[in-house]
Amino acid sequence: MPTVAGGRPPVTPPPGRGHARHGRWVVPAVVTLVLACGAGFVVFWTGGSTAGGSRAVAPVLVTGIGGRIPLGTGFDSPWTMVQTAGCGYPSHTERGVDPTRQTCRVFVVLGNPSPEPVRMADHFPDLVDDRGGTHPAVREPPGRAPVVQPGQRLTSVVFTYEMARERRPVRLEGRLIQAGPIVRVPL
Amino acid sequence: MRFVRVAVAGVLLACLTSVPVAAHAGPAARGGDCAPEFVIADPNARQYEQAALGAVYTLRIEEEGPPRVRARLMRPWMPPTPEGPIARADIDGDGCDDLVVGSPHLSAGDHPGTPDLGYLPGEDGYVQIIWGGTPARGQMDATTVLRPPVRGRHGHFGWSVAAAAGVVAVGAPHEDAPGVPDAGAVHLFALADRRVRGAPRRLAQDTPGVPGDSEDGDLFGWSLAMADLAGAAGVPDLVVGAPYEDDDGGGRQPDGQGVTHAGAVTLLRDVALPRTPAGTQFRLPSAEGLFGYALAASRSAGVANLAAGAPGAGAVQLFRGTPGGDPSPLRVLRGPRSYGFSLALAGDDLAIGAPDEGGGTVTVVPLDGPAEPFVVGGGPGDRFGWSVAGAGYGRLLVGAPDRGRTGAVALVPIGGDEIVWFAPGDGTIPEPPSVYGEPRWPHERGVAVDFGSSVG
Repeated sequence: MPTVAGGRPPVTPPPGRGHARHGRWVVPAVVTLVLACGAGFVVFWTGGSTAGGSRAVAPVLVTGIGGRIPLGTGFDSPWTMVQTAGCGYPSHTERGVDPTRQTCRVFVVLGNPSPEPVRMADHFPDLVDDRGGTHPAVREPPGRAPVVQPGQRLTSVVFTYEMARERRPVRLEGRLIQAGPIVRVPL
Repeated sequence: MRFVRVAVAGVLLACLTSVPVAAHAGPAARGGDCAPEFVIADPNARQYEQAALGAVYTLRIEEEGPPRVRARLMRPWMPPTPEGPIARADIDGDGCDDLVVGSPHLSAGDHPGTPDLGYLPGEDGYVQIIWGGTPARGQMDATTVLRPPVRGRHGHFGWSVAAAAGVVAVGAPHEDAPGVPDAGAVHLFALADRRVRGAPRRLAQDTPGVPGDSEDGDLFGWSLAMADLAGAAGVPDLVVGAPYEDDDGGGRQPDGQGVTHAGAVTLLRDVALPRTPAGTQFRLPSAEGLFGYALAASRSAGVANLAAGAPGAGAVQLFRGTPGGDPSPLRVLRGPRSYGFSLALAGDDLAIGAPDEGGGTVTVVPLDGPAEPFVVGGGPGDRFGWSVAGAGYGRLLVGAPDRGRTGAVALVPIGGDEIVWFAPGDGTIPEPPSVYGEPRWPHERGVAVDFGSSVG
């Protein structure tokens, strides 16, 4: 059972089910990718962790999981919310699953009820672990961040991070849209 | 295979969760032994492994005394409307209210009659009518699907809905006019015997008889209301909000001219009759006022009332019907910023939501008389008043979608202080279902995050 963000430490997956587990992930991964592309968005994968604390930029909006985070000053501003977050997913490498690391996935919904399009941030929020380590999300493929059109809602935004297996995520912190506020979501 | 699993689990859940409702089907607050009674939506809920699939709950609330709620997660895979009211009217004339739920961020599949398994995330949108009826007649889950007449327009069909006997109006505010993006449109469906009759009529500001001009970013159809307000007696009139319209004079102007985003409200008389529409446009000039962001209309005891919110200006314009004429402005109610974000006419009262004021407030204003307004508020960050609806017997249902992790709904006695809260997982409201069997990963668990975004 993977660790729900902020919960107990992850447990090593049961042996002998690696192939089945890998197969189990193929369909959700493909579906996620297809849905993300269909929504005009991309899935983010990480390229390892970076030691050090989070960037200190004010002001910071603090909202928990499930809370609507306004990304502007008006009640009709773009908004986002973290739907689920958790670690303990297998960390796949070119040589198979790395037993010393884990993948964390943060599922986000983003809506733009405003009459103006907004562009997603080039650098997406970092995941901060229980020792203050900051883990950046790295976008693939590279390119300009997508635009969220008026009225559009993105439902398949998945931030993916990797970190040492014994670490726990404690918060998500960063920008969702360009020129938007820095948000901090305790996990 | 994935859909099959979801479908099987959904059917099982629907069967299981429907038993208590049928078993306790006592006298309902409205419409005799009709069901469902009220609907609450969580547009961003996760069910099974489906991100932001949404969840729709039906509630039956006992008539008087301490509220006893019979809650049920309805048709687990049916996505709800993300923002704005759910329409309620006796569309088929059987004496039971029917509910119209829009899903502007999903697109229906190509298989008529099988909407539940045939949708995908998209920008076209679709609408379902949930037919009210007695449980004994097995009509609790009967639905009729309305689709946008033309696919691929990405107009967010279902962003707003309104209904009356034999007619349903559906807003698509991001639908383009030729060469004009996001001008907006409304599609009018005639129904008989629970079936759509004929092709829907498209109404936009470039339709003959409709006042105004289709301009870039007007978002005509953002909000809708329907009631017998003017024109022929007993024939519904349609009210359409275009809150991002600029007050820029006659003729088609570029976006951003004149009083920007002042908004406009258009009354179209007797829309159920097959003739060229005749309309009147109302304004409340205030830059960024967003007049028409929310609407509410009703005819009660022979008196027609119309309310239009301008939450950018913190104002609500109240109109009153006149014999033989259009409704005329009665008074402007003022409040804090976001005042008028949501509206509901409940009996002799108007409920006005201001979710961005502190933890959010709802102000209940008597339509007549000098009585003091009744104001009720939520806790910090609740966004109390995001949605509001009358719940009968002097009560309101108020959505607070950011209360706690799941969001919540309050049953508020008008003038009283014994607010009763409901939220998924509280023992009354079920939580969204997880994947069939034991969830192994966080994203396989059902999660409620926005409960109360829509109530109706």
